Amino acid sequence: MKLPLNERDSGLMNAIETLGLSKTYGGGPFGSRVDALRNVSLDVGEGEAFGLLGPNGAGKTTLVKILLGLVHPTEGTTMLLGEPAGSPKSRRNVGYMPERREYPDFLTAAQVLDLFGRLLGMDKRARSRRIDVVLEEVEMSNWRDHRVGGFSKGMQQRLALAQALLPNPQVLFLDEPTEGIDPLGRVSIRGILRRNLEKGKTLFINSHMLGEVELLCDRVAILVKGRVRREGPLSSLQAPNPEYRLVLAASDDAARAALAATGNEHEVLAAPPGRSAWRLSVSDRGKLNAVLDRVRQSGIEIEEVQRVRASLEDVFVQTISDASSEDSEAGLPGGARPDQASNTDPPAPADKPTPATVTTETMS
Amino acid sequence: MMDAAISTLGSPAASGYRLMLQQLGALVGYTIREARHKWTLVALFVLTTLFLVGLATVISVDVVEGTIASASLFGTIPLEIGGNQISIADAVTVIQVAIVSLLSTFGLVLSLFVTGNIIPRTLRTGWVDLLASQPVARITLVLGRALGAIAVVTLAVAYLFGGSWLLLTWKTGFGNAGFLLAGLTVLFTFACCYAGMVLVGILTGSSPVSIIAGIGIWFLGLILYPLHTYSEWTTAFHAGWPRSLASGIAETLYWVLPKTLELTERASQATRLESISLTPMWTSLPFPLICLALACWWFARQDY
Repeated sequence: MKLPLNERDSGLMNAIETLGLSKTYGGGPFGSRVDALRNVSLDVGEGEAFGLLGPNGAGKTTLVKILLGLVHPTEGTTMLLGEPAGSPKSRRNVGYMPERREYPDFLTAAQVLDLFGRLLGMDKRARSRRIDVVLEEVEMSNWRDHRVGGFSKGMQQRLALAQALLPNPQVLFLDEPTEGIDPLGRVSIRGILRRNLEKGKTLFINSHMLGEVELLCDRVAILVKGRVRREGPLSSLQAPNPEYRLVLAASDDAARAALAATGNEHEVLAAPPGRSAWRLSVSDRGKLNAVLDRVRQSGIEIEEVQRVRASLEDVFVQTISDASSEDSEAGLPGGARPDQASNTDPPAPADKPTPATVTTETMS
Repeated sequence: MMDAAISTLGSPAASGYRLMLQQLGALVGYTIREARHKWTLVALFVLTTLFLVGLATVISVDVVEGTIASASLFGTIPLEIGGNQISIADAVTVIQVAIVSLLSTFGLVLSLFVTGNIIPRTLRTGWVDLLASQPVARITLVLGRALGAIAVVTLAVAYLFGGSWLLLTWKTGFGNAGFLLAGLTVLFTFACCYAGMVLVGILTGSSPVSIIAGIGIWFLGLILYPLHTYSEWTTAFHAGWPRSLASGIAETLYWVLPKTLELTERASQATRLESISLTPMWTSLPFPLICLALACWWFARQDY
């Protein structure tokens, strides 16, 4: 059972808490009703890097905007650093880097930050010092007195990050922080975020860039059609049912006979001549060892055992597919029909070496 | 925690009313800067400067023993006022009443026109999210921008009225304090109409609609006063409910909307140093207050 907000076994306060959060847009006599969020309950601990994933229209931005008080929830409770989310007080220690932003083009980078510093209540001296610090942090010191109108997209992205970092926030909300940034820029921004994470700040990353999320986040939630479909530590999501790749020094027939006797799910894979390769699904390490013992008892030598780990992209795609199937079976209007499959926005390509939809690690 | 964060830099963050005042100051300052960069303020100042230069060069006045001995255009074309010599005070007052009339009409419409996009620009996606995600109450955002617009027009009005007053005082030796009071009245008229623009701007997010609303409020104030004063116009309607309805609508609008014509008259009266009734002021005051309250309430409950 979920604990009441702010009460944790450890006694530590969560940075972000939502309980039964729902948001419905429209629904009046002249508009169609859209359930952007349905009963979303999430906790993000202090100092955690949390990734919120989902296809376009899943409700990710709505969730972030509710936490920041930009959107009013229809139902549910939200807390940000122990304060009810939405109040100006709750936003005093929060940085927000929205995906879409339009800084006044006539202001310089320093003037933009000065305006936000004044809105934060910082005095002139504190603003001046902090502006220097954050511009240095995002490597924009040389552009301090240049007008924003002349900035490239990457520079605007860095300025947005500087603005989010200005209050020295405890929680950073980042909406697509590396969207449209070249690979070197991504590495740089990732480095900045890592340094902030090391300082104990909480990161809440809302992104399509699954590779970025994989590299930065400890825990993720996958939001589909306003519902949290999967949530947990990255490692547990990526390996719901461990799978292994076995290469045996035997013919396929001999290996099949040995594996069939174990009663575990297995599937033949392509293998070099004289070898037999199999994908084996077992529930835990003990079962794996039992299978290996059985194979050895059959007189078959084991050449290789690799753990096959599904990537976040695999988990993401599978979750969306499962959600669509569940909705279709339940007859929910939001359930995607097979003919609508192409309308579901595909996830942006993961920013990681390809082909990397399946990564492997060799057991020692 | 924010306080702690900032205090590590050696300076605690403001809080409470002090914070709100600082935020209002930031938004007013930003609006003035924006007006300068969008050429709004520059255009107003260029127009005003041209007017002041014209005033200084076009009218030449020779004063002899406290009366105007001669007045001329460009120093060569003689001007006679009623064929008689007039006092300095009368001559200056006539010129200042003309300035007030010009400002209360052309200047006010121009001011509404150039400030009409300030609120809609605040509501741009990508900018309103950034502002509203700060620890700023939404009421502060609306009031800060509205006060910023009024500050922009105040600067222009101060330049025009102050400049004209100084120029005429320097040329004639007669300083008319009533003229400066008229400037405040013009500013009050602008603020009343602008509050309506703020409400419409928040509701629609459209600059053209806001400008039309602001100018419409000003114009309705001009035509409602005669309708209120001379009830004969209702005879154009059939007796009975059509006449009552027409009269009722006109009277309601008259009492609800700012009384722009009467405010203009009061500005002229102030310039002439006549005693003035403040009724148009206090009966106009509820309109901007209610408009701003509604604008803040609506803005606070919107999703961005």
